[in-house]
Amino acid sequence: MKNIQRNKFLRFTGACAASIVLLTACEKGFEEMNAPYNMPSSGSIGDIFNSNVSSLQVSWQEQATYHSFVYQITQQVSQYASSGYRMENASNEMWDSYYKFLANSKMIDTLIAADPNKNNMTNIKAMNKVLRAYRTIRMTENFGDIPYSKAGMGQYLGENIRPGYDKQSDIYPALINDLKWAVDNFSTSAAQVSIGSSETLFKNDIALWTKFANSLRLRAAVTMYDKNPTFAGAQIAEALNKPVIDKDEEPGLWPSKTPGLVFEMHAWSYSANQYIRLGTTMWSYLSSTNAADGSGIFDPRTKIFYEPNNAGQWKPYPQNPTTSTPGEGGDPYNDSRDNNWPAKGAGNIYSNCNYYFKDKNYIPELFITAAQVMLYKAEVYNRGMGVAKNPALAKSFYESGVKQSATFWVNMAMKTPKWVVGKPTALPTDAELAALLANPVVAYSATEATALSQIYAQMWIDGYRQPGDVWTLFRRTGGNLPKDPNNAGYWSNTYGIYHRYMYPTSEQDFNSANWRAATGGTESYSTKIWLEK
Amino acid sequence: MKKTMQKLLFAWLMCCTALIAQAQQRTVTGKVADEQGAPVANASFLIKGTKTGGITDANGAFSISVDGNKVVIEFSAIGYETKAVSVGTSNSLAVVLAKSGAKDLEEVTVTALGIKKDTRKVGVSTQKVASQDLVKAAPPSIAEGLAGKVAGLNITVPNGVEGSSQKIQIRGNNVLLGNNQPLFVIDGVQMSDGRMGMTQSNGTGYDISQGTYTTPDLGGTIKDWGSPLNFINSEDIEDVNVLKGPTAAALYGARGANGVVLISTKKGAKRQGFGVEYTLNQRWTKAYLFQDYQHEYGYGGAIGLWSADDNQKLPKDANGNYRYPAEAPWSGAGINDKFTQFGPLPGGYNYWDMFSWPGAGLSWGARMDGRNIVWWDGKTRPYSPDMDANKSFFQTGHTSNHNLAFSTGGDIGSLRVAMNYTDNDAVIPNSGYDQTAVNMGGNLNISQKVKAEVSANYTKFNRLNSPAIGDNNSISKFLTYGFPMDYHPIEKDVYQKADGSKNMFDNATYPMSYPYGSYTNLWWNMYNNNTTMQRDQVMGAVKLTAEINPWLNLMGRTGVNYATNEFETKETPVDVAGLQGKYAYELNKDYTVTAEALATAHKEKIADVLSASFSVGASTWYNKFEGTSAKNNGPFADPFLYYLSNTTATVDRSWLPTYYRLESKINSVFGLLNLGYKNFLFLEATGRNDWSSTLPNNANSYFYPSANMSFVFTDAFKMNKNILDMGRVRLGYAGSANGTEPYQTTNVVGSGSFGGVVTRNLDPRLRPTDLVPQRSKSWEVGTQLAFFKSRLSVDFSYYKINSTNQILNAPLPTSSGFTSRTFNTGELENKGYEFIIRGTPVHNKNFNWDITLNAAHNSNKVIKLDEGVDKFYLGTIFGARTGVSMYVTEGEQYGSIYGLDYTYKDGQKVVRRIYDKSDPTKVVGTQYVTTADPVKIGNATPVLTGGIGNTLNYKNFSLYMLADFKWGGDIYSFDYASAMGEGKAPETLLERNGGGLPYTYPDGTTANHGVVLDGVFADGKKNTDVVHYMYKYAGQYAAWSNVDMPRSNAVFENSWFKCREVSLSYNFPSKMIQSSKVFQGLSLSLVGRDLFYFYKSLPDNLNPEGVSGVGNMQGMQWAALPGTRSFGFIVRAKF
Repeated sequence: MKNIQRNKFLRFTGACAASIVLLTACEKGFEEMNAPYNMPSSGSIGDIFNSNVSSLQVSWQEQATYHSFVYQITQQVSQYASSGYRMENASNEMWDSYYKFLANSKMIDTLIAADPNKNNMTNIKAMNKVLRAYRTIRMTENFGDIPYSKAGMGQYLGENIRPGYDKQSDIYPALINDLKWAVDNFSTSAAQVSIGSSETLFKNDIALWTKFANSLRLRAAVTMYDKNPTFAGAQIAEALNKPVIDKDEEPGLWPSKTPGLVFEMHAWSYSANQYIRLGTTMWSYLSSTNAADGSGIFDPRTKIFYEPNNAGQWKPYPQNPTTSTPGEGGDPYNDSRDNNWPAKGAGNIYSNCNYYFKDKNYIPELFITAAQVMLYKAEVYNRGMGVAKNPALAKSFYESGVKQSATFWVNMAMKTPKWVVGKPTALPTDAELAALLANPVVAYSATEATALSQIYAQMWIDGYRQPGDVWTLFRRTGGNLPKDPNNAGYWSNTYGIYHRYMYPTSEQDFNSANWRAATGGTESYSTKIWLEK
Repeated sequence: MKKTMQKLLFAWLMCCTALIAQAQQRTVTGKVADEQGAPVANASFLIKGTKTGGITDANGAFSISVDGNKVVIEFSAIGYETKAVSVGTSNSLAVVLAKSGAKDLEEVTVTALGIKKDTRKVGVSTQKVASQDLVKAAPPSIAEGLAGKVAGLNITVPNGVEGSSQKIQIRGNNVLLGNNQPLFVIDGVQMSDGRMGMTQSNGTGYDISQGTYTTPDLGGTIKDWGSPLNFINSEDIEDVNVLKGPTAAALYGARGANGVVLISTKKGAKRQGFGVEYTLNQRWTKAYLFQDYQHEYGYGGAIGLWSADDNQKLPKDANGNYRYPAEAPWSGAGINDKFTQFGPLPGGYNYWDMFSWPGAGLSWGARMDGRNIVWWDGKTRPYSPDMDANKSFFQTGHTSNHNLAFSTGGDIGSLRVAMNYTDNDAVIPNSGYDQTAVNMGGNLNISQKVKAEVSANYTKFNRLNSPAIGDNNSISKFLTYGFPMDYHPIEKDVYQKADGSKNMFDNATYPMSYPYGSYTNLWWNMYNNNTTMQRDQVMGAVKLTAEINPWLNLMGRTGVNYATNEFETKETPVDVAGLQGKYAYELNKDYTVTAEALATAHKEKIADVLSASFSVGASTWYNKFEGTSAKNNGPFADPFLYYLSNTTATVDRSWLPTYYRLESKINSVFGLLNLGYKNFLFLEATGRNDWSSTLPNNANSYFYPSANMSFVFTDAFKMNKNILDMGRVRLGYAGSANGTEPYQTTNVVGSGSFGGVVTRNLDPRLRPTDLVPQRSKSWEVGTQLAFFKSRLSVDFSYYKINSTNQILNAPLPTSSGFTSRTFNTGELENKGYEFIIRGTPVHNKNFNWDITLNAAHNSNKVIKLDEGVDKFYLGTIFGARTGVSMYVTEGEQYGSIYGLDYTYKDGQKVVRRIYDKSDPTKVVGTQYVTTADPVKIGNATPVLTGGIGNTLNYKNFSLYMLADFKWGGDIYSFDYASAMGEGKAPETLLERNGGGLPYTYPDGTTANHGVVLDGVFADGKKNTDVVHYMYKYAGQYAAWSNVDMPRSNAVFENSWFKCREVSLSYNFPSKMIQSSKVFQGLSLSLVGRDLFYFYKSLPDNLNPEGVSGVGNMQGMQWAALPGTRSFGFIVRAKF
């Protein structure tokens, strides 16, 4: 009996031991069980490049900040009430978007370097450099010094997870050199590796890539010219001899050319700040009189950018209002206007920005315009930047730029499907353009300095949808842009104080040592950036 | 995995079955009674030297299988002396227990893995709550039934909404980010963490689709569908044992690191009569604790600053009649902008430049003097407050619970089958739930040596709408942030048009403009956008035990918990045609299986003085939670039909269903060694090795030990027991280790599409490949003393827990290209003490008074964070800078609250002037200068928490009262700040009612409305500028704010002492019962829950328990619902 019981016990303990062995063997399936089920573990160069293209859109909060701050700083638009938004909101989002882009961009470099066919990947390398330069230019112009050379490399751990800051004076030339490298190395050789359909921006149009890179180089060199004329002058001279973008080549993100691209944030930015109106500063450059019936309007862009008030009258809101300024209370950016155009609200007594710029499906985000490039050339020859002064050429480029801009924006309205009311039916005629150029405000002055101001003023008007570029222009020219002289103290106190975005609080929280080194422990939006005059 | 489980179970079944044939058993039955002959229910009995035993039924009856004649059974019951009875050859025993004269110490303690031990042998801290104490006052859930009853078990029910999750915590937070709640084990089945689905939002910051915790911002929506504990019927619970801290929970490994709550369900016993029990409880709940508001001034923002004349504070319509103001200059209300809330301020500013963006509740307007005004809906009403307007949003809630149980027992074992139905209407309209549960539990004496314990449970739970908290569709946000003091509840009758479509509250319908613009969807949403949740839950467990021979027994147990959650959201079309509607559907399933095996060899007498036992075991735990969610955003193709493909919209990727999955497994082997010396010194040592699937291959195996000792010094030193009956000390140490969430150890890339082509990007969360388990080490000392024949007992514990190698998802500066990194870092230290004092001040034949006090203190400190990580956010509300947040820094207490604060010069607050924009010499206001960055403004850690329970028995009456308390610990109240900033708080009346300094308005009117902000200017000069009172309130307080405002002014110590449970019961006399020939027992109880606060430190009747969410940020109050209380009755009948 005892033996039987012992045997049963042995059987039992044997089963017990077997169970434990089975259990511990289960570790084998752990790796499979814990593998992420919904995220791939790698991506190709093309996939990553396309992701970077997708991130070129101006982010939501940056759009809102254009409306709430930048438009007022540049006086392109006025507003009758502050939005209540803070610039920090945009800082966080811009920082977040840019550095994720930068990490991907540097990863593309790493993948190319490791690729056996890397010698035939100069086009991809150049495209990557161009996009990186484009985005970095925007970032440094907004913030000043930023982490750049050591940034976006957190995956390598160590000190890379808390990158140091680079001086704008170092970043800017480095970007121009990258752009030069791209212009010099873009190749049409059949041996070049293509990323095929992953290149969703210019569809592998290498000529366009070259023009974009060179135009961007021209912009950057002109922008930093006053800080280092020798370096910038040489780059300008070289850029003038290379192709630049021309009309109908406007590089940017075009929903009409990119399946699925919808600019939700464009519509939203008008909800985020619905207080913007046509300002007296812009009005004075679009109309020769204050006639409310619009009879003084001489610029075809006026009715593209703005609308009359609810009574059909043209009435700009004072750029610098006083306590006696009558209140505004319309709702001109309400979606209901799609079906009921006149319903702007009884309080809409000032001219508002054109409702159709809430369009999500056609109007592009422009990186740089042909008119802008023409006007840069005008500035170059007006001032003699890297080349000899040439007033005739300056005038020629100026007038081409003005005409190109006016035509471009009228054309935009004609092509935008959403545009119904006030939709132009034809491009400006030669006579209309000649009249525009003949208007005393626009007519190219024989006085060099006046002419220069006119060039800047036209960049300012053309940059209606690129307020970031205009803000840079404002700062590098020492504020040589149109201003409303009435009650100017209002502007100085309210908007003149802004010279840059402040770093997002995450830098102070998580990159504190480097943040302190860059700022001295305190920072301000009133600190001038290196590029500023 | 499944196959392994089957093999394991099969092996055990084979072993046990083989042994059945060997059994030589007989059954002994009997009855336990007191000296007066009254049956003693729930008395424990245990065959001495074994772990075989049970509990007597309601009639004191018991049944047990014994082997041989030399068996001694020990009987014990609370309040009685323990008695050992030799069975001899008898098959029937009548046991009489002598009363101990007072509530005795618990004699038997349930420890890890459900092992029962003599309490004196246990070197760790545990506490038991018996069934009758749990359900005395009809708690809505088990957690609420435990509140205040266990030292160191802190239970928070945010906002008190029945059916919501609870924050349950033992001995503080062991992890910075993630789950700090204990493990719940029901009949050996380890419950899953209780993910409900994608719509679940209860403040923990857990993202199901990513499987990660992120820092939550609780300023948004909380929509809480509850936690798994809610779906266990309290009436089926036999007892709850709380194993505190990792020392007690060493054998549950990783998942027990935050403590373990062991729940045993009833298993039945033989009863007299039909063996049927029916319990009915009915409870009615009312919201009663409403925040105090002023009732003198109505709607208005900017207008407050323009004139002292009340006749100038309301606009007039075209007919010259006073009319209701409007929200914003752009509202199209046709009135001067000054009469709009967000209108211009004197000095050229906007309202939000100075006072931040407020809600629609601004009440800086005209005095409500009863004059007739045209309301926003065009009707004329007197301008007077509706004192019950806030109450109009609530109804009387009702919970009805029926419980029917059949129980029997005999030689073969015992069985209990119970059915339960609960029906709840919440205090918030169009919200409630019902639950049907069937529970079966039994003990099966397969043979003398082999026994089985089985339980099975099925629960069907249906819930209609979980109230949203904190968003624009929530009553709570409306009351806090909207809701001006002149509010009249008009909308509830007009939110829906006669044709069934939605009243848009637009200017076409209300040309005067609807004044509460953010809340136009509130009423429609409350009634017409409905989400239902249906949960089907099945739980089952089988435990087999075999007494192989006198020195060896075996135990095998397996349990399954399987639940599905189905969420269906129907948003009624807002148009008459029935097309502008939405529909969403989510279905998930949560599957957990647990299996354990344990072999124990024991020897009672080694050289007469030593006893020893040694156990080895193995266990496995596996959980898989997966589901899909999809939404039809409309418009519908078929009117008023709710299905996913019913749409005419052009759909894209964003419409595709979401799939999510969380899967993990832990395998373990473990051993226990128990040594006893002369029945006064006991030592237990354990060791456990886990393998966790959530860690990298090279680090997924980890070992941790524990040891504890119990020393009964009164026996060892043979002390005189006249005063001190029993005294012992405990000492324990335990290691514990933990894995992490699934899928964290592989680097991945993000995937999407642009321009119709795939995109891939570096995942912004850097994942580790070198993770090691997070570990904690815990020390504990304690003592247990019993005095005066156990009429007074004290149990005290002190502990210290250090948690290291935290697996953190720590933020990185985004300039690194990444937003966070998961890695091992940091150290947290918890220190604290707990004590329980039980006493019986009065005890005689007819009257008995028992009192229990339990209390605990825990201090939680961050010892170390990773190099370079300055702070780690636990949560924020309205952003980290101008909102309020909680984060940890090295050397700082967990629970610190941060926000902008006043700045000081020479001890005085610094003030700055606000000048007229057009006249830089004219001062229009003053405001406080705040710190540039958030600073510490409070700490939420309480000094002491606990409860006091009193039970008074007089003849057949029994009165029970539980009061619980929280002493110390701060709260930041956005609700207070909002009321102060919006002019709703009673405090804001002081100057408005003439209690201020002489002040001249821009229109030349004067009143004593002025105030001087106490402080100095930056140059140290005293501020003497008299400014309008709104600069004191609106300028200094706000809930959401874009203006820098000091936040310390809404931080309060949140101490309270609350009457939690009251129950008055009457047990019908047994003679009367017996004469009925139907009943075997009948009792009636009147119960009250959450009745009132004896004391609360928060001002203005704020709800002390209205904290936001159940996450780790427990020091904020935003959009709290009013406190509720309930009354009801319970009938318990036995047949």
